[in-house]
Amino acid sequence: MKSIKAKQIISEYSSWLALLALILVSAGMNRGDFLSFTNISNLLRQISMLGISAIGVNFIVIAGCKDLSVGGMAAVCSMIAAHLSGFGLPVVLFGGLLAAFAMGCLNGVLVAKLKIMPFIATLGTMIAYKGIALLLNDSKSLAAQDGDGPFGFLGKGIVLGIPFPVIVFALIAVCGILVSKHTRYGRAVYAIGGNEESAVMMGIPVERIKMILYIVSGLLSGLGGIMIASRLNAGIPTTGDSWDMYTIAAVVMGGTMIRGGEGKISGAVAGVLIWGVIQNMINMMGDVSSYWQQIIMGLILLAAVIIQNTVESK
Amino acid sequence: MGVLLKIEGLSKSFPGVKALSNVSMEICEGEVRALMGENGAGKSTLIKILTGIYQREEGRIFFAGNEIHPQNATDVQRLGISTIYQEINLIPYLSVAENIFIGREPMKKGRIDWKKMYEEARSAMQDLGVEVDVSQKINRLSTALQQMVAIARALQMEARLFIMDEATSSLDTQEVERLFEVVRDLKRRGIAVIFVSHRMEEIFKICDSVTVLKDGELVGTYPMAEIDNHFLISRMIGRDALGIVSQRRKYKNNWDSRETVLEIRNIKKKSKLNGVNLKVKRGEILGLAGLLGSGRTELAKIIFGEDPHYEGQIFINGEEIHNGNIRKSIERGVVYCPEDRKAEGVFLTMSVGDNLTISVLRSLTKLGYIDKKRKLELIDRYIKEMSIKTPSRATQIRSLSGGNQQKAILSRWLMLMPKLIILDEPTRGIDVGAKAEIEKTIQQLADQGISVIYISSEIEELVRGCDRIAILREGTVFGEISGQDISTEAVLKLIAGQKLHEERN
Repeated sequence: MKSIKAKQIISEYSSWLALLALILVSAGMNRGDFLSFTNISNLLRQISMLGISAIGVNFIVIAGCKDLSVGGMAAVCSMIAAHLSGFGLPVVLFGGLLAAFAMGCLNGVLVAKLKIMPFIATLGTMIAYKGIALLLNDSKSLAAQDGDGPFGFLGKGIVLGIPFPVIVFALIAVCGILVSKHTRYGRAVYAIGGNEESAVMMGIPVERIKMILYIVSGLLSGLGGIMIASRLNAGIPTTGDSWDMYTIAAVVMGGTMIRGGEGKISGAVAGVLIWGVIQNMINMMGDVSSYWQQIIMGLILLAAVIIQNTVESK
Repeated sequence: MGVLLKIEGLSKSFPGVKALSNVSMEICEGEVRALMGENGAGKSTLIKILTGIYQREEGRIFFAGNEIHPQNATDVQRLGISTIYQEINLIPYLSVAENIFIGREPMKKGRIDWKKMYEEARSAMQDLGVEVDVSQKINRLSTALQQMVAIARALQMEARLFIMDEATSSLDTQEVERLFEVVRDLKRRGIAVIFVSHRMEEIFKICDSVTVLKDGELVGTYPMAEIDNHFLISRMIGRDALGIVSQRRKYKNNWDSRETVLEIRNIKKKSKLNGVNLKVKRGEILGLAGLLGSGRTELAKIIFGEDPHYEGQIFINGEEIHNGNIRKSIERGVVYCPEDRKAEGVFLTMSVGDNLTISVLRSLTKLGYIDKKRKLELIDRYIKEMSIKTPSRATQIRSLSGGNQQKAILSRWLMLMPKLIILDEPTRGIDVGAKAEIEKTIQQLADQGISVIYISSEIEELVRGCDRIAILREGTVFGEISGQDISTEAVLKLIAGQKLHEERN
């Protein structure tokens, strides 16, 4: 009995244990440089935008859906942010998030109303959104204004020593965790992922919930894109280029089942952190090609899925 | 008691078929009404209209005195009509309590009040006579318990009419009995039940009356007390039933002279099987009875080679083999028709013809190409011999009735000229007419010298059709009866764990 419980705990928190192991390895390898405040703070800032987007994706995956278009939405919003940066922060946020809302809505309509398979629907919009981002400044980057003002604060600001994006990420993660555990909406998301047909029969408004999921995913990715534009002081049409897959990878590494129905929002946080630590490790090694990052990441993802499968089949 | 549901002149057609035509019926509060008919008689269309999945074309429906226009599943539930399906509609990874309350969770300060939810769920389950940990995930529970959760949910939603659509088909005898206890309790509360089942004994046991449909038309509604089995079957199939219902298998006593096709010695599997010994002779039909969880399916899968993790010995034609490879088993002439047709048996989106020949393609292949002519000949021959009712060999198999799908699976294996066929619940969810045909086919196979292991929860079926019945209980063979000793009572006794007096050893 006791060992079963121990096993359960290990499988529940396996992603956090993996993260801890990585941190220890990294700290050992770099003799304390890794654990320096500057390094950790940089690392966290780097992964915050991807993390914000991954929270939305995590909900979508729990509902048994996919959203491949998060990177595209981030890119569009980053370009819009750069365009509007001269008009001040409120205009940037309004314009950027409005576009994000519209793009999320389109995904929602395709998946929830027109019942197109989420993979295909968002594959289509991903390609289109990336095209829009390229179109917005003729495929070139666009320098932003107000880099030192309120707009710049969004990505570069520091509050009480903590980078502002990290605070935003943390707040969104906490909200996500609470929503997923303690609200009807959150539990309905799990129900849809568990068995959509049953969820319909049980009277859960499946269409509406999916609509909201995609809109929220759009808004979060859009916010991530805007923050990147702020940090880099420029709109870059290739922003979030790899997010489509990395968000899903992070979510799965965090223990969410790709078939839906099971998972934890906190897992996405762990998954994104794992990503960040590996990235950081490789960077610190200096002479190692950064492509190793991708290889290691891929292997860790596969390991996570294999562990999930074996736990599941028992 | 008052009339709860009244249906007047209900009609519905699909392209080319009149699925329901001018059907009327009334159900009173506290009444348990069977709905019977062969597949295609219109039962499921009627139920789907009542549950808002299909829209009627003509007719009116009154529920609790008001005319209703069911548009979707949610509407209908709100009105007080709940359906308990054969394949249970719950959310597998959520807890028992959440499955009962989802969408209507008790809230406190904007958050779900988990404590209250667990308490209420526990008492809801206790009302049904079930003690379970309501915080555990639903997929850890047996089908029977899951059904209880579905019922608890419906009661929470104050359902006044339950539709139980083949709700007993995956339950064993004891579980059915417990479900019936709950149904009787529903009756006492004035809740009406529409009970759909293919099992005659159940209908007579639990229902007050029966409405029979045939070809979309109402045949009639009869009080159970005034009719018998034969009358009911003849109403359903519209001709004299006597010839259709299978005869009891003829008793033979020349088994000792026949060779043993399969022998298993002391088969063990962790927590499922604790030493099973069995022999099957050539041309023998061996029934495997036992409760769900008694190890029947596990044993079948080991014999078929689907599960390599076991201890013990298996002999085929006297030769010891180590099992664990389905391909090799098939080569040795051992085949298995699984319990869950849709998940493990047919390829739903493929044609009847492709489904038939999928396992013999290798023998039809010349230089890498499939010999189309021979393939089509083979398909046509089996469609005819097994009388599979299909518009053409190119029809997608999912549009066939369950009985015909089952015949297709059987044909697929027969093409391989097997020595031993393991049938796991071959007649589940199949209507009376097709059932009789399948039973007849099985008899013929055995008479041709093929050995059959016949697993079924329907004891009547085993009693009718087997040469010998082995009763599994807690992972071992608890008793065996053969020939003239076979009777329903004897099987039931053994299943329940009582020894028969006749047994001296």
